[in-house]
Amino acid sequence: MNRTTPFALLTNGNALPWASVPEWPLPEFLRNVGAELDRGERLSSLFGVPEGAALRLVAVLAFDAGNTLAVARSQPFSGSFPSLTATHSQAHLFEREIWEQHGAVPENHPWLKAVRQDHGPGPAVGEFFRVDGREIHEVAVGPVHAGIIEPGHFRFQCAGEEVLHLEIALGFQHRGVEEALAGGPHRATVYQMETVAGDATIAHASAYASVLEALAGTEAPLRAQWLRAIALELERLANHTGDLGALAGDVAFLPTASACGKIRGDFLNLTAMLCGNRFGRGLVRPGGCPRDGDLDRLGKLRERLETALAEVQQAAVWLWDAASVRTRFEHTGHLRAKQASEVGLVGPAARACGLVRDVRFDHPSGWFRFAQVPVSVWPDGDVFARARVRWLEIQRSGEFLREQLDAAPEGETLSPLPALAPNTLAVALVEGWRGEVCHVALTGADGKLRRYKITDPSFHNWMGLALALRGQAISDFPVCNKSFNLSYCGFDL
Amino acid sequence: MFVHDILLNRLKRGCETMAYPAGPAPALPDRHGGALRVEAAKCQAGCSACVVVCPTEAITRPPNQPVALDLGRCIFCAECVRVCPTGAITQTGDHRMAVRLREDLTLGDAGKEQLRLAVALDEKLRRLFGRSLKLRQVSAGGCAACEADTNVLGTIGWDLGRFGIQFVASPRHADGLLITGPVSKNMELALRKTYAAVPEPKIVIAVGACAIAGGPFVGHPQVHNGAGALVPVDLYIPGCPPHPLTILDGLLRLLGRLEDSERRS
Amino acid sequence: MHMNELSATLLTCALWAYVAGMVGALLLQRAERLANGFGFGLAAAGGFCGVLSCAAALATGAATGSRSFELFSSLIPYVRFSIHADALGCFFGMMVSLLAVAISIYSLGYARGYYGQKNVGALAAFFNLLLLATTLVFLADNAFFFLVAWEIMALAAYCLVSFEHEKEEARNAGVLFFIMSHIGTGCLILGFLLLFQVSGSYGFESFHALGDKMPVGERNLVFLLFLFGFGVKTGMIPLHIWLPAAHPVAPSNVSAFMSGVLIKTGIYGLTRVCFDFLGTPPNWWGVTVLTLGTVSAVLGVLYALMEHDLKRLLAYHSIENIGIILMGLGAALMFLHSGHPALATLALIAALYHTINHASFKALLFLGAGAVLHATHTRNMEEMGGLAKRMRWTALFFFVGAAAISALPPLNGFVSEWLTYQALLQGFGTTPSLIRLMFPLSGAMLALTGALAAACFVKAFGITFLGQPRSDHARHAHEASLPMLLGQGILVAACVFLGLFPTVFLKLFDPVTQQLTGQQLSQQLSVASGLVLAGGAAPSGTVSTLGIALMLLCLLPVPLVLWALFARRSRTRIGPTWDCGQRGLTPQMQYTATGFSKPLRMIFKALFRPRREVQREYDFSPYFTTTLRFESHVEEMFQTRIYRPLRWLVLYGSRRLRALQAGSLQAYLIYIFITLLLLLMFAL
Repeated sequence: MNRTTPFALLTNGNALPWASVPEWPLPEFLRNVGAELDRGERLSSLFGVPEGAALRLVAVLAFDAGNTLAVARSQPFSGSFPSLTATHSQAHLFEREIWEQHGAVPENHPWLKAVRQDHGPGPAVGEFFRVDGREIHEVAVGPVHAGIIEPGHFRFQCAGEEVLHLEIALGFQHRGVEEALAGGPHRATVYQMETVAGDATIAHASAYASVLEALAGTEAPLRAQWLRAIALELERLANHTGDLGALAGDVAFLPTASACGKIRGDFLNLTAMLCGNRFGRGLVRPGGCPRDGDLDRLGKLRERLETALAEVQQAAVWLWDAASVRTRFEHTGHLRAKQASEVGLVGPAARACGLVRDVRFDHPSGWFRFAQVPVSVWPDGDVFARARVRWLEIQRSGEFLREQLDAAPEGETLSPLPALAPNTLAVALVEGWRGEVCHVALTGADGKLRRYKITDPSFHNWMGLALALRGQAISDFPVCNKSFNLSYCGFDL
Repeated sequence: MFVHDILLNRLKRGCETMAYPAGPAPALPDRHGGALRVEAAKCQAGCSACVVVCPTEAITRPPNQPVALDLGRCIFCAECVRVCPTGAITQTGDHRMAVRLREDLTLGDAGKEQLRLAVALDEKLRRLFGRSLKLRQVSAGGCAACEADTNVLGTIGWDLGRFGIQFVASPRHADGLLITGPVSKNMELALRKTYAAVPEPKIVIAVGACAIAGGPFVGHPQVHNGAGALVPVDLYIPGCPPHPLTILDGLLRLLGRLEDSERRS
Repeated sequence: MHMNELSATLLTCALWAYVAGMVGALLLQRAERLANGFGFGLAAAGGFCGVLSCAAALATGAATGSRSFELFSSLIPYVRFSIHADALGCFFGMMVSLLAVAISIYSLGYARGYYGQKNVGALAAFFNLLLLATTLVFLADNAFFFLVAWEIMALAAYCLVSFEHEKEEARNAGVLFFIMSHIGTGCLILGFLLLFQVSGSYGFESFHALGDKMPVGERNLVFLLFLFGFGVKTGMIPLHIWLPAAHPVAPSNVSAFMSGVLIKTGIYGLTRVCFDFLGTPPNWWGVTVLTLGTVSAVLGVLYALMEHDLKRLLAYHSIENIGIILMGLGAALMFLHSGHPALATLALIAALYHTINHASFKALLFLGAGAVLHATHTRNMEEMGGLAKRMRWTALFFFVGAAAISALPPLNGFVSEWLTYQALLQGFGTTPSLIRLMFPLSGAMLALTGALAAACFVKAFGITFLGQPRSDHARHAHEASLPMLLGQGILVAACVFLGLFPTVFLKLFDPVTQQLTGQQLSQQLSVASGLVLAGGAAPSGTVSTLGIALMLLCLLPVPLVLWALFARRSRTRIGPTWDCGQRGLTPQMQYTATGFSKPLRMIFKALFRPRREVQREYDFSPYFTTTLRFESHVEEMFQTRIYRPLRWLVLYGSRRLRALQAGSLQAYLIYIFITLLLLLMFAL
């Protein structure tokens, strides 16, 4: 980093003592955060840490250009605080969450509503945005909506077929994950981390493991880091293949839909070859990976990987060739780069708007410090771009896996985890297949977890879907929703 | 031309649907483990090594009682298998785990080392649903893994449609519910309304450890610890998530489409 | 043969009943209930007598060869107050009397809504005057009496349109109606004068087949004048702009009468002129009328689709149906020219049948709209909803009307449109020239119109009566009173009868067509002892609406039998609409009228030039909008592109002409001098 900043800097997957996190009075804290956001940096997480009856705000920023993270905290305060959203839109959901979890009111927040509403009458109540005009009708979908899918509520304001405004209300999946982490880690913690977003098990489990390892002052053995990277890319392959199939299914292009449905299962079975579970449960633990693969097993995995990659290559080519598919995909669900950057999108949704942001590239940790995956970017910001980015990532992950399966380091895969350091803050970012997963942990004086913050990529990206639908025909909603494919439970925790 | 390509590809690959149940079941991944088997007789006196490692407290051993493992709470992490000194808890590699009654999921007592598998629905329901079962899937706090493995049953490899089983969009068109997730309190109203909207006669299938007993989130104040708290359940399929083969086995067993003389006791 | 004594007496009774009703209602103004009962009761009685008289005259053939008789003598030369109930006049007289009965009975209940607010006696009096004048228009025997009755009709209608004169909308509509009506009347006067010039007398008898004796140029001019004059009255496009303004603001019983009968006076006039007065027409007359009819039909229904004011929607549908009638008339004229009198008769029958059909179902729909307006105090469909549960009978009657106007078998709209199709399709083979392409093209446009009309009524019925109420008024709506329901019921019976028994009704056309084209087709069109309707001499299409109705009736018990056999023991559970598991549905979560018609608005964008206004307000960033307002408008092409420039031209010209009124005596003297010079030159 060749500029000065008052924030404390640390790299991805590291820890620093709580005392050395810079502490400022609340207005100065907000000003400094705002100044960094103005310079083009990103807000990875903004949350509250209760200090007795008062509250302290902690900000974790991602300095992508400088390949480093920045942390700061405010002095304790109570009551209300001036809203950052008024000047920087990407803080909007974090401030609503702070209000819901701790009761501190962000003043002048443009849309103050609870995020998950677990202290109230339940989600999806309260005022929804209404458009004035006798000709407007509302379409209210969910929570139980079509398909084998998680619950969420979508309130459309429509003029005929055109959507003027979409508001999304979630919280139906709230299971109290963050609350249960206090005083942990407990017996069930690592299993809860694996099921925060069950189809992104490796991403969340890796972030959790990195955080605990950083708190304990160690790193997982190299072979374990290598195994984690392999599993992460396999998870990415499986879900992107499933997404391409689902997108094809939504526009009734059945050849790719049925082919990809099957190939996704093949990729999941590759993960199951490593640990027995198709989603990677039990593969990643703090301290390393409990199960290893011998040469024979890895060789078979390599063979089956090649077959599956060839099949998905063929299925995707049909998708790009079909004019009917392109008509549906292009110019649908359009987002501009400026919107994406101001709202703080992450992951393929952001890369499909032309933004170059990928944790493996900007904040490499684990095996990605040694082996790089090129960032897949596409400029248009529509459904086609998001599908295209997924396709590029499938190809690049495939390449990565081919190289790395031949370059396995020797050594053990699991080492015992020492005790966690007290009064320490650790941050870990992982590029899950939906985008940046951010885990922030703070230990107390007893070395137990005092506060644990999980920010799933969906937390950043649901607003992107709401913006992308403005001005679209409501019949394009399923295809837009699938093109984002966000996690409901990762958001709801 | 992609049309030409697709047709050739289809002709070359032929039918990709598996033969099961007309043929043998596909193998589970070798590290999967399958159902657990508990032989309480092998337990050492005073040993409760498995009780303390279980993350969901599925294993209990009251004093002077044999060990009991509730497979409905089990998330199949296999820690108990690892720590047991005498091998009283073992993995069988069997994919069949579906049961009709909640108490059938408790293993350990003599005669209950392994699961008593599900019997088919009664005659009247089998006549209604045996060849055409429409299910509405409700995710009440599920993590998306059970949903994904249920979804995969609709793909061409498994092809649930050949048994007349189909997932529908409206509960008014459905014969029953397939519930995943620990039933968060925020989903209580929606689940009740969905259940009420299904016309009689209806069945409920609970898939996954969460839907049976709360899974990794058991005991959290934000969840109801399983679907059984709100609606009557006709079929329980344990797993975290259950392998698609396990789910399929459960559904077919419920409809009486599988002949399995071995495991009825 | 003399006109049947009974018929004549009944007719006179009817006319006197109207007079008595008018006078009585005026005298009883203070006693509202008495004025209401007396005025409308006598109108109903008069209508009843009129129906009997005209129907009997047509059925017994007494209408042919009847003689005119003077109502009372006049001392003015050339002016005779005489009526002649010939076949055509009897037909239209029957129509106006039928509507008089139904609407008057309805008004007994409807006028109660005006108690304490407006002068019910005046309403009843003007209504009787209107009935009287319209009946006299149809029966008048000479041009002067015709024009007198025409004027009185226009004035009475103007008074009724402006009945709610406290609303600016009503005042403006009245004035527009008045102006357009008089422009038309001016053309009529000119036309009659030209006819007088050739025939030497004003009596209609003397005008008979006059056209053959006239020079070609003058004949064409007469045709154009009458087309324009009567066209304004029928609301033909492009002379229609008064119709969507006047019909919505009038009290609903008046709207029903205007749409049902008043615009048909124009049809009567055109039929009388083209078939009776002007002899064998040149081809371009028929082509013009057919084209104007087609354009009116298509544009009428397209504009109706964009409306969310219930009565304006119905008003535009009147334009559409007038278009269909004109298509029949135009086709008949073309067949007369090409020497196919049988086909001409068929087309004429189709047009006249559609006339009386439209009178029945349009009046029924307007009466229904009136009941809805009475209950919800709004004409805007976007504020209605859920009325079917609260106004069961009105909903049912409106549904029958909607089905009839969408030409669904076995109702009457189907029969007349079917006959129109038969005439158009058989027309293809009548002439070898390219003109014959017009027939299938018009047929195709008619089909398009039918489909769009059905879509429009799905919207109208669905948004108004189905779903949840969108406003408090709709939530507290109550069923209409008994007289209102009775009035609607009479028209429903008429629709059903005209639909199920076309062959019986066709017999009434014989004297009419005999008089106009010299042919009688009812024998040819009725097959299988009257159970099946044919489209002309064999081979031709046939349809039996009675058969369809009987089949529906026979199929009706089938689901009941199946239920009794198989499902008797199953329980019925009533539950709320599935709402995806949320707290509950609100009235905003249902489709709006504008949303329903949006796809069509987009398809016909070039015609509608839709404009939308979206106003977005936000405090900090557009991602978090505080207010969003949406409005959409559709441009009425004829107003903005033809009438407004025309009006501007007239006003501009008038302003320039004002310069002539210099105010100086010398200038005026010079004007007189110049005029005298010119007159002398012309005379010499």
